[in-house]
Order: sequence, then C-alpha cells, then structure tokens
Amino acid sequence: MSEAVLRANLWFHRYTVLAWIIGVGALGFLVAALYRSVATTDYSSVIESMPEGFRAAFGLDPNMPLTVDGRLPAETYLTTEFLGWGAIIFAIYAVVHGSAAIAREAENGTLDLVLSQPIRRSRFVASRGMVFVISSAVLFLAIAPILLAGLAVGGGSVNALHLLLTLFQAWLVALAIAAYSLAFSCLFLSTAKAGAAAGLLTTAFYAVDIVSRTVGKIDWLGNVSLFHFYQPQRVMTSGDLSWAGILVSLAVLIGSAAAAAAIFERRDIPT
Amino acid sequence: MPPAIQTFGLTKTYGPVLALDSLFLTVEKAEIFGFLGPNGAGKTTTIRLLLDFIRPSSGRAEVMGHDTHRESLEVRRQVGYLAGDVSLYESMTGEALLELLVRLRGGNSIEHGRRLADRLDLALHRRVGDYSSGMRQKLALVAAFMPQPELLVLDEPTKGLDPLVQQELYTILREERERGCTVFLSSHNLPEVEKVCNRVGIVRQGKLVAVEEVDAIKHKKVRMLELTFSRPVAREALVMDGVEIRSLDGNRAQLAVLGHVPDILRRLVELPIEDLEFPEATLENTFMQYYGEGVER
Repeated sequence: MSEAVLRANLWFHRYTVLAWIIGVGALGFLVAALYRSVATTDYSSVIESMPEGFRAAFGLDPNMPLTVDGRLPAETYLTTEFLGWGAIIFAIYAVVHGSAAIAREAENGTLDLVLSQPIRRSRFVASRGMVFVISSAVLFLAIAPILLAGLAVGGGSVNALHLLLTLFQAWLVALAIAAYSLAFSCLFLSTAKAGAAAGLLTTAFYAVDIVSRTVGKIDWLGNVSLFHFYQPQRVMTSGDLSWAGILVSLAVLIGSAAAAAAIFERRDIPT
Repeated sequence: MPPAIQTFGLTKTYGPVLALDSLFLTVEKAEIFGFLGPNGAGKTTTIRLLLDFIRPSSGRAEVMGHDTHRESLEVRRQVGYLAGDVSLYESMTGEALLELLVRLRGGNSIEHGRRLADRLDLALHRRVGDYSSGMRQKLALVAAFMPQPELLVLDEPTKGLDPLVQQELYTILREERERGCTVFLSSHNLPEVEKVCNRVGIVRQGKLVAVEEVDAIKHKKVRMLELTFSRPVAREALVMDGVEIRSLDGNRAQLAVLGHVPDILRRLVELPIEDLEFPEATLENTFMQYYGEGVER
C-alpha cells in the first residue's frame, strides 16, 4: 500500500464522506427520533396484517421481539425502520465508491500520472481499497452516536455496544460489496460499466435474500446472498455476531480484492 | 553500457488493428531523439509500451537495460514522463501535486520542482483546477523533470506553451542532455524537433520508416522556392532537373528544389519572374518530401 496515494485520496474524499455522514445521519436521526410516535402502538398486529413479501423485504419478522403487550422495543424499532433496509443505503455507498475507485482515474486520465511513477499497480489498488475501508469506517462510526442521540430525543434507548456490533456487521457487508465493485472497476475501467455490473450483482443478492426468506422451499438459496448473513435484529437484541456472516463477508472481501489487484496488474491502460 | 531505449520487434495489435508493427529502435544515452509521425502512426503506443501502460502483442523493449514489463518498476524509477494529454488532480494545488509525486518516488523535497516552476513562470500555490491549459502543461513538465531522471519521455512537450516558455523549455532540454539525460520526444512540431533533437525516427502506420541524424536530413536540403510571374507560364517551362513542381496556379508557382541551386537559377532567369521567396530549408519540408505520403499537415 502507498501511504502517499492513501493520504491524497482521503483528502480528495473528505467532502464526500462528510456529505454521506450528514445525509445518512440526518435520515437515521429522524427515524430514531420518531420512536416516540410508535412506542405505544400494538405492533404485532400491524406486522401480521402486512403481506409476507413486504415483511421479508423490509425485515419485519412477525416473531421479532416485542414487549409482552405487543409494543415495539427501541432495538426492534431501529432494526426494522433503519438498520434493516439501511443495508441498501450502505450497499449503494459501497457500489458508488468501489466502482469509481480505479475507473474514474482511468476516465480522468490521472492513472497515467500515477502509474508513470515507480508504484506497483497492486499497491495502487490496495491503497484505493484502503481509502474505502477508512472512509466507510468513519461513516459507520459517525452514525452510531447520531442514532443514539435520535433515540434519546424519541424517548428510547438501546445498548450502545450492540448498536456498534450491528454497524460493524453492516460495515463488513459494505466492504465486501465495495471489494467486488473495485474488481469490476479494474476490469472495465469504466465507472458506468463497473457501477452497472456491481449494482446488478448487489440487487441480485438482495432479491435472492428476500425470495429465499419468503418462499420456504428455497430458503437454502439465501446462503448465496451476502445480505442473508446480515442479521441486525439478532445482534441488536443479543449482541451475538453472526460468525458465518463475518467469514462470508471477509472471504468475499479478500477474494474480490485479490481479483481486483490481479486484473489490474494484467490490464492495458487505454489512453 | 546499454542504450537508453532498445526495442526488439515491438508489436501491438488491438483486435484486427495493427497499432505498432515490429519496431526495432535504439536510442543512445544522452541524446535527444525526436519521434515523428502523424496521428495514429504509433508514437503514443510506443511510449505506452515503454512505460508498461500497455503490454506488447509480441516483441519486447528495454529501458536503461531493464525489461519494460518484467522490471517496470525499475524502469519507471529512471523515467520522467509527460503525457500527450495532460490530466492532473484538479482539486490539488500545484505544490501539493508535486509533493504527492515526489513521495511516490520515495523523496520528500520538491525544491528542484520549485526552481523549474520559477523558470517556467508557474505559480504553484494555485489549484490545478484554476490553471489554464498552458499552466497545466507547465506543471506536467515540472513533474516530469523534477526527479532528474535518466530518461525523459515527452509526448508533445510544447503543446499550449507560449513562445517564450518554449524557448526556456528548449534550454532546459539542452541542460538535461548535458547532465547526461536522454530525451525521447514525440512531436508533430518539426521546427521544434529540428531545434533540439540529435536524431529523429519517423513512424507511419505503425512502422518505423526512417531513423536519421537531424543534420543529415538538413543536408538533403529540400528548399521551397515560391515564384510570382508577371504573366502565366506553362508547366513545361518549369520542368527541369532537380526541381519538383509542387503547385502552379496562374502566375504563381511553388517548386521543391532538390538539385544544384545555381543551375536552377540560371534556368529560371529566362522566365518572367516578378518576385521570389527562397527561405532556408526546414526539416518539415525535407520530411514531407521524403516521407510525406499520408502525413497530416
């Protein structure tokens, strides 16, 4: 990894990260602050009245932990209203950032500038990957206190450690998505093509997860989806991380990053 | 001692398109070598192969004795490069960009870059995004010269530069050669090549068609003679040994003079000449005479 490339690119992305923190943070804060409005609702009957597919798509499990009188605990509320479907936001962030990492430099012509210096291509890819690791870590770490503050405003509270562990698991999924987006970026050297390929794959993962949860006979199919292993409800409630999920995310992350470096090492850099 | 650049049947194809066809070229150390040719002739392809941006379909190349692919890192350590289309990080200042590049080479001082920027009259404190195209070109030149490399690979180095800065650049190039640096310069600008280069290679349709000493080309002396007559003359009147009629339009004619000048002038005296222009031979005219077919002007 090249420290010079890493530092320069973190500086380039400072406003982007800040914008994402403000945007996602504002949404999360708003959702969390609205907890007061649903805290006294009999939620179990509301969930049961929803179509099964809808519940699956938004992570609304009829067996989710509710209070004895059917009310929604803050952990469950935050999971269903933000952390569950929030994975889509994190996935978009990962696809946008990962697919642009190398391709944008090729399109702008700045790859020539960097690669005419004595730096290995694989080091350059690793440095650009590390930019996402750090900037996304900042994003996820910034969201945690914002959500806690929002809940406090909304009259609720959750275990801060459980929230951090849930965001950690979401971060790992985002890293895995960014890694295969980076591989597509190296393969196509086109932001549009890489974004389309990574976006399609991510959408397919998400769709497979929903379908496998909805159709009992093919629930095994969920195992091929990254999202299947992201279980915010479980982590928020008990603090138990899904080790299978961590391993799958890390395997996709490492495999995709290695593929990205290998592809880029062999790739002609067009004018 | 190995040459600065040596290629061995370097070939690059893009599908059915042959971009470079079995290039055998040697550039000696401490010479300024001009690489000439029209757009799409293979100049940029050659440069990109030397820098390992693209990989040859067959053949190979060495820079300072190092294989351009297997030892690409060592090659790039010894090369300063200016791209034909300069692209820089827009949000950085000139100074920050130079600092990034110097760190990528393991250094930490841009002092030499500052001196070069002063000579080229470039303000380094401004954002690259606010630079004019000429200023970007200057910054890219500073970035290429700053590491004081063994070999400079420059693709159209004077593009967008005003004449005063061009002269300063020629001075810097001569200083670099005196330091022992080799310069591989791709250009469309023949007068520029004539001014600074020792040798030129001419590439057309992916093939190297000639390698010549600049002085040797000048001695081939293709001078253009422009004549204005007091009345129209017949083409037959201009047909003579050592002369090629380039154009004849009423009472104006343009002749390429290849032969013995006094003999030709003696013949021309018989014609109703009202005015004539007979400037020094330029490399461009000579180049067009010998290799001009299909060359973009």
